[in-house]
Amino acid sequence: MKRIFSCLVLLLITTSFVVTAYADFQNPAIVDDAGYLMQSELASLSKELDKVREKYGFEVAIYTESDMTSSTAEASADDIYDYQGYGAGENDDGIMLYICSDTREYHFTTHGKGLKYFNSNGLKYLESKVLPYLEDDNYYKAFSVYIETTDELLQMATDGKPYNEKQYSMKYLFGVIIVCLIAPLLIAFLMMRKKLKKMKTAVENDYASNYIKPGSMRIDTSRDLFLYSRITKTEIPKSSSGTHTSSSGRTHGGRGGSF
Amino acid sequence: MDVVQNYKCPCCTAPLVFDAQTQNLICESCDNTFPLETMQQMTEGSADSGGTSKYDWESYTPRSYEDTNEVTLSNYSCPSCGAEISGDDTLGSTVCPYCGNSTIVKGQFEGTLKPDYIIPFKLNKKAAIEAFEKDFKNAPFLPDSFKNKKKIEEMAGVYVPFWMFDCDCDAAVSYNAERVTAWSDSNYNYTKTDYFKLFRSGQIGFANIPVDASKKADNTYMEAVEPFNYEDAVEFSGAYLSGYLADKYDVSAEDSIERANERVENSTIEAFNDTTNRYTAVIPESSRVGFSNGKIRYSLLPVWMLNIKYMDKMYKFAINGQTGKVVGEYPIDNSKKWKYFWKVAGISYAVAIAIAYMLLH
Repeated sequence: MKRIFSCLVLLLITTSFVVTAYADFQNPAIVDDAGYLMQSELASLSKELDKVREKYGFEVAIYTESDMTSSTAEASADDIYDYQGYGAGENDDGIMLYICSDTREYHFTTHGKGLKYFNSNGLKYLESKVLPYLEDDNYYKAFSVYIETTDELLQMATDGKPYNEKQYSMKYLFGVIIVCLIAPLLIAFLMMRKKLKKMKTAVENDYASNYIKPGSMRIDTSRDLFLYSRITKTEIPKSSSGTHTSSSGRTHGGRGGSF
Repeated sequence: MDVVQNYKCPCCTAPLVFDAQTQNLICESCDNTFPLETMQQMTEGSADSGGTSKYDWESYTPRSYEDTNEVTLSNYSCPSCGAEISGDDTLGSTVCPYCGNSTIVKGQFEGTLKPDYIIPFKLNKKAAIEAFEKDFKNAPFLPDSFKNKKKIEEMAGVYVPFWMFDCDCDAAVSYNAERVTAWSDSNYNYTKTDYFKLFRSGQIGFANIPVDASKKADNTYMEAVEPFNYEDAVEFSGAYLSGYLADKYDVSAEDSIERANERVENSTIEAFNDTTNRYTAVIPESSRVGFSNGKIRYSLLPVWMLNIKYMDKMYKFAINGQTGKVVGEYPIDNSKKWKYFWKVAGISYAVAIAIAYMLLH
């Protein structure tokens, strides 16, 4: 009897741990209303995603639908995240990949610590990994890469160094080095040239402004004729990142576009 | 016979066609529409500003010196540079103010070419030397060995001949102007550029524009040492030459007019440009400047001249004898120059490294 009681207590404790772990996440890791995945793929990816969520205690979700919930992919992603109770911990920390199959638009929305862990450079990096597979309609691979990359970025954040693209972009590094090498020489040259001007003060004066009779200037005709206008417009890149306020009044980060 | 006026599109230069329905001129090439009145005003303005500039200067009649017994003058000639200078007969040994040669030859004064006005020296030699010493202390790359007290003491006060020009100008200037505005909506960034044709015409007067009338005095130095305040000018009297040298003009008023015209024209257009500052970009298209009431006077203006030989090269300086303004060209100590360069570069590198560190971490 005592043994049975002990087993029951152990089972209760174990169950309560499992329930506690899942209790932080009110929603399944993947909602595939757009029907991109087969059941076996959905199960496999959900398992992988759950591991990541539990490992970091951080919401990592995928949500696809065919009809957009709100007017834009960004608003839809934010609204689903806010009103369907996504997020982990007190601040609902997390990231969600939202896809609308009709408009072929995607959006990564972040909230809470997600803003820091998946900063604009991190989202750019994540997008660069996922987008090529979305464009090829290889959704299983796209979601696998999404899970791997979020795992990678969350690990970096856990180590105290959230992803910052500047550390990795050769172009950026090269730019900083070149500017650091050339700018001081340019500054020194310009300052030396300014000083050199003091060494030669004998210069021609092509104007006679000093000799204008005071009050002698009188404008008789001042006519400004408008001729024509030209308007040019350039499209604002669809892909964008940064923080904004969603319809619920909460702050989100995000990045998105079409594929 | 009536002349048919053809208008060209200011945007693409295609011929404009009158549209009876709208009573406007339209361009079939670029679809722009122009009110007939605008095109008429544009044609009138272009004709006004596109004319030839006219210069009306009175001719100058030289006056001779009269024996006023105010001061006894002598002629000094420099065998080195050929300068012919007049000066107080009592002047002791002096150096040529133009080339620094010390073997200047005294001769008989030949009294001709009497100036109309003179601005007397306000700065005596001591004050001029102080002004020069203050100036060269601010010259950053000056060789330490350049300062030569003895040479500085050889500074000579010279009344340099100038032609003074007065004139009234009526000018017409046309400009092409643009005004750029930008805005955005949720999908696009917009840039609107409005194109304008501007016309300005009016009058402006100039008084006492000095133009160097001596071949020996470097024009660049004489323009750099300006401005002179002509309110201090007085009727010429030989008494003012006492203790100073005086050059006489060897560039005629007619030969100096071209430079006066250039400076007046530049300043007139510049003054008119100041009335077009409501636009993003303004480019002068054409201008016409007409001169009237052009008066020319011969004047002597006070300049302290200094020549210092350093490393086989003569460095010239001029100090405005009225205001103390110093102009010239100093020798450059290259080691000081590059030391300064690398010092600034070193500090800049330290700052750049700190900024780079912040950017990369």
